[in-house]
Amino acid sequence: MPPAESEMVASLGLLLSPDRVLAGSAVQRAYDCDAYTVDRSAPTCVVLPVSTEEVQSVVRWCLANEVPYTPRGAGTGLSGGALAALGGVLVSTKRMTAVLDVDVPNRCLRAQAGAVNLHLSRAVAGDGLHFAPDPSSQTVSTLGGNIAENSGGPHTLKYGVTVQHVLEVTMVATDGEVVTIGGRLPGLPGLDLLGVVVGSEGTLGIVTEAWVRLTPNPERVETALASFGDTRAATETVAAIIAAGTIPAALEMIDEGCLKAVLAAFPLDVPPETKALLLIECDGPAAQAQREIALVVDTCAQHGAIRVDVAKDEKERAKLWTARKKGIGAMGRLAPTIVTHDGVIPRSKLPVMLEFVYAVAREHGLGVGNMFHAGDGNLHPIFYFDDREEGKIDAVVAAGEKVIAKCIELGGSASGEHGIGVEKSDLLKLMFGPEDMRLQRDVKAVFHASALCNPCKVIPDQKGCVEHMRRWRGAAN
Amino acid sequence: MKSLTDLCDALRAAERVRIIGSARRSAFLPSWDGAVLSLSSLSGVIAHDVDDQVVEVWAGTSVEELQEEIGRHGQCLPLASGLPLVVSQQYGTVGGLLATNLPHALWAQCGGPRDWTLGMTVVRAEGTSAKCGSKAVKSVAGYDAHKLFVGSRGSLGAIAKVTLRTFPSRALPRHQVETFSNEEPTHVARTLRTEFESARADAGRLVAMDPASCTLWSLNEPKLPAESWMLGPSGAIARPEQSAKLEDSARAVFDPAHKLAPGWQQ
Repeated sequence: MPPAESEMVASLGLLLSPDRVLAGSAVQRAYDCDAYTVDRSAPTCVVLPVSTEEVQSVVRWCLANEVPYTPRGAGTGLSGGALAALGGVLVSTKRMTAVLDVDVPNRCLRAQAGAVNLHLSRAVAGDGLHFAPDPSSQTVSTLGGNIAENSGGPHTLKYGVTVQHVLEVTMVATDGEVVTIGGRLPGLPGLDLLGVVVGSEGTLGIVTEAWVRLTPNPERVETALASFGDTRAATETVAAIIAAGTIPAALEMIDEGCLKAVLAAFPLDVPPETKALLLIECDGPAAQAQREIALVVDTCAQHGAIRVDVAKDEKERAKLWTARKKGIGAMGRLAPTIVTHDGVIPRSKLPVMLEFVYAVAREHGLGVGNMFHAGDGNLHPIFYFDDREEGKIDAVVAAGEKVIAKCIELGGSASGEHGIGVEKSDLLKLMFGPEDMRLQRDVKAVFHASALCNPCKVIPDQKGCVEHMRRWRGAAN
Repeated sequence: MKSLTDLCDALRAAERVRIIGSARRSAFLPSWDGAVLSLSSLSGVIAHDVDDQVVEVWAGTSVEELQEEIGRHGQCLPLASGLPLVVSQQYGTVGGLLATNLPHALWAQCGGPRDWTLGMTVVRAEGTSAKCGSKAVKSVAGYDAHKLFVGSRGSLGAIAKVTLRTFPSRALPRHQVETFSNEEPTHVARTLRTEFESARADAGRLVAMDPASCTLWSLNEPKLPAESWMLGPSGAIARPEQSAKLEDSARAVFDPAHKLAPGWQQ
């Protein structure tokens, strides 16, 4: 029998300090979801540990008292990974923000899990280095959250996702032990357990600290904005740029549905007949960056771009990126509710996929815009609607599932960077057969994953998950 | 062996076996007198999606054959030529390249097999096949089981087929490897950048070095600072302390009957 709320709060208050255990109805409301707002489930209480040792003592207490626990960073996750699906203790890393070691000569740093992504780069800005993963949430999202979700971002096309930039993690395993996985040197001999922990959505333990790689800032950056009068021409250009042998640092697309919201929020000068924009960045040694951007501009022109502008200075470049990175927020102007989906396909399938997304939105009476990492084939359809209208939530869930099913049919995946969380836990079986799912379960079993650590995510095997899903979906699967 | 079914049957029937490709990297594995199961006849390119720069290939395909096939379309795996084989890694089978995950000359510039592997079909120790990953260049759907198999040296099961990201040949960066002899190295080590110069001076019979990835290839066991790691003959490894418990757990989960030959000296 799990302890009552008052007993839980008192016990955890003794382990940490009473002011770092939050409870009550206001707290429960504030922490009942992350940025995936469709599903909600309140924790009994929220704890704010400051160290690995404190996380360990909380986990041990939860294990001893059979209380579920869920790690949470900034709560910007888009698949419900930080949702306290079965209640219990929400372990927030918000007080674990320290950068512990900076090793400039070896291009690495160690930070606590709650350190904000952008703060890592800021810590070494004067040394000409940065932390490469740059999810749109990077001004607030945490290192621990980025590790849990294996976060991407626009520049992952060239620089890789989070897993390529994490060297070592300290983790409170699901048996309460503190383990170190990886090391300061990449390519460590032995099993790549680190490669599994990164992207495991906080289900294999709670990462409390990490050594990360730092990347030298490029000598030169060139950014181009190409306007197209036709969406298909833009998507075809994406494949053509890569096929020409260039790997841009970033290759982003904004379609007509997003463009009107973006233009209303950020004054970009684009031709009035624009139906789609490509934002392309090339970087590296000066000669290489200039050669590559020239090739990109040519390719855009050959594929029917009506205008291509290359940013003249840092200010212009910053303006282009602000429009892209804050663009999803701007979508809020179009309707009371937006839901951002995430699927990934081989990039040559972008033209057919995008047309499919438009058809699905029409069928379900939803507005849709797309702003996404085109170079990676990582689609982000953003459905906008008024959730007060009856049936709209069901429509957006159904539309999302159709989009994901199509991604998988085209050889892609159910998620490019947002993760499975609770959102897609029943969609994994579209990708994986029974033996494939057994392989997934076995990977989890290597870490002795307990039923208490972040339950109902990725593989919702724990008792109570079906009931949870039935409650929020309104239907049992 | 000609098919996935054949491989499943062979592993199901096996009692204690080492999974090999061409066995050309076996100097780095613990010595083994028992039965071997070679995948080198399970070969061929299954599909090369030229526009997507993705290739699906049977694990027994030779690296040379794969490079030739995708090279016709201006693509490659980013492995350097004209160096001792252990440095270039342009040899053996694709499965062997992945399973051993040894350093190579363009590692700092282009990453390693772990970074190029998008998806995989594996055959488990008890003889069933399973797939993981996808054909997309990034995916966070489920656990990255394929990462566990890269570098596992056949200790968790067999890699049957793989989906790899390819690179445009003409955009391939230059490597910075300096070679001192044409002999095949027996030891590979990596150090911190700050310790590379001194490690290099103490390395003894050096074959090659790569200042970009701080990797040393030598003909003897180098003297190394504490944070370095090293791979040596007969499965010898040296590395900073790791959670051995989790590695033991992986072997217990994936090979409960102890069918598979060890990948490292225990």
